[in-house]
Amino acid sequence: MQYQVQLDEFKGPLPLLLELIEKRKLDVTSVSLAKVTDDFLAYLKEREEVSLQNLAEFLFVASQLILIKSKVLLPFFELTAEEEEDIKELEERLREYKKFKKAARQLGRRWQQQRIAFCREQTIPIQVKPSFPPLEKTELAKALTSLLKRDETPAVLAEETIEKTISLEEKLASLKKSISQRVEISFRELVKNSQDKAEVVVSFLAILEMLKQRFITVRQEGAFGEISIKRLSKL
Amino acid sequence: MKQSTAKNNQNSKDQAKKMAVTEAILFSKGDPVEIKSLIKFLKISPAKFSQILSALKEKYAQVDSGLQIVEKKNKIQLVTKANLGLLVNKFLGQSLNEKLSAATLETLAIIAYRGPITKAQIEYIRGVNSSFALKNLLLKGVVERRENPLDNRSYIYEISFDFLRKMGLKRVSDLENYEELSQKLSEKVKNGDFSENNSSAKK
Repeated sequence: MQYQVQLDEFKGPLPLLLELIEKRKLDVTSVSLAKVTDDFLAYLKEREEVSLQNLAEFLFVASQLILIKSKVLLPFFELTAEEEEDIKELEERLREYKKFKKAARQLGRRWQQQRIAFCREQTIPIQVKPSFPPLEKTELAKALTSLLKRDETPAVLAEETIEKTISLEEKLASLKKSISQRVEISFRELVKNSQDKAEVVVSFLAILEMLKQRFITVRQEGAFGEISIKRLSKL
Repeated sequence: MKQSTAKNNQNSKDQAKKMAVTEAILFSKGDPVEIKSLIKFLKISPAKFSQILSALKEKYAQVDSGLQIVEKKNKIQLVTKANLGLLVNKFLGQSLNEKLSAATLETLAIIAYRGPITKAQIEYIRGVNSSFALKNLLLKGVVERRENPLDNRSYIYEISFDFLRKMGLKRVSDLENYEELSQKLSEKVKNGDFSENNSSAKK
């Protein structure tokens, strides 16, 4: 007798076994297991592409089936307590699987009914609320004038020269030197003699690095305030 | 006599107010809300809160209400009624439930009835590796996983609020044959480890 079992995806030994039993309209008992043993083995023989891992599972079930069939055919054939347990387990697992197979079908129908309960779409509020401290107009004016003063020299158009860049290490060394001479220094003082913006940026990075290394502590009173740098340890 | 009716009036007014607050919180939150935090916020007893919750549910049970409350464990969520799903969807134009494969549905059924459950326990019932189905379910958001408190090398899986919403269920126990199927057959099945149990029992 030929059994064509439609496979949409990999089927383990339990689903196959159940399918074979249900095809014969049998209940899950050891007698019906014995009856489908040949079908199961035939299926296994036909499908040579069963992978090694799956093959092990199939062979395990197959060996149990052969045991069950032997018992049914040979009444005097005694099974050990462990074998009895194993067979009972296989039956129990099959019955269990059968229940869930049915439940899965019901669940699938329910899923397709599209009885969806909608909830309020949660749009995660991104709060962009920069907290600016109250500023006096005069302070803004002051900041602007100092900015303008800094940029007094008219911008010279690019003169194809490669400028020597200050490395972070160099700056770190020089900053350590100037800080070691004093206990406290402001950032403004520190970058007073900077050549260009790049050097200010590098100085700032150097400050962050020293902060990370716990050489210094840094304080700033309010936004745009002076940054004062304090030495922590002996450098 | 008069005094006590006045007091009753005050009580029901108080309850109505708390019902309104609960509704407002559930609405504004949108997501599931922990019952415990509501009880704490409203400064009432759990018993009193379940009264409020029942009153809310009764209100939503009316045909002219489009809302319902979905519950899972210790959380509740305010959602639209499942029987309006298709209509609401028609308006919103959101995507409907896509078809799930038989293997995915089996895995989902096991998690729904037996969850929280480990992968090993799921595979014991299905008799086949279920990693793919689990990944699929996690991606769809109908199943969630957390670390297994008994064994931090594994996860435990359970259904999510989205599962209940997409299935149109108010609670997981509303599933067909929930009583029967949620019952673990035996400790053996629960542990998903027969051989060791057997040998140790025999010794």
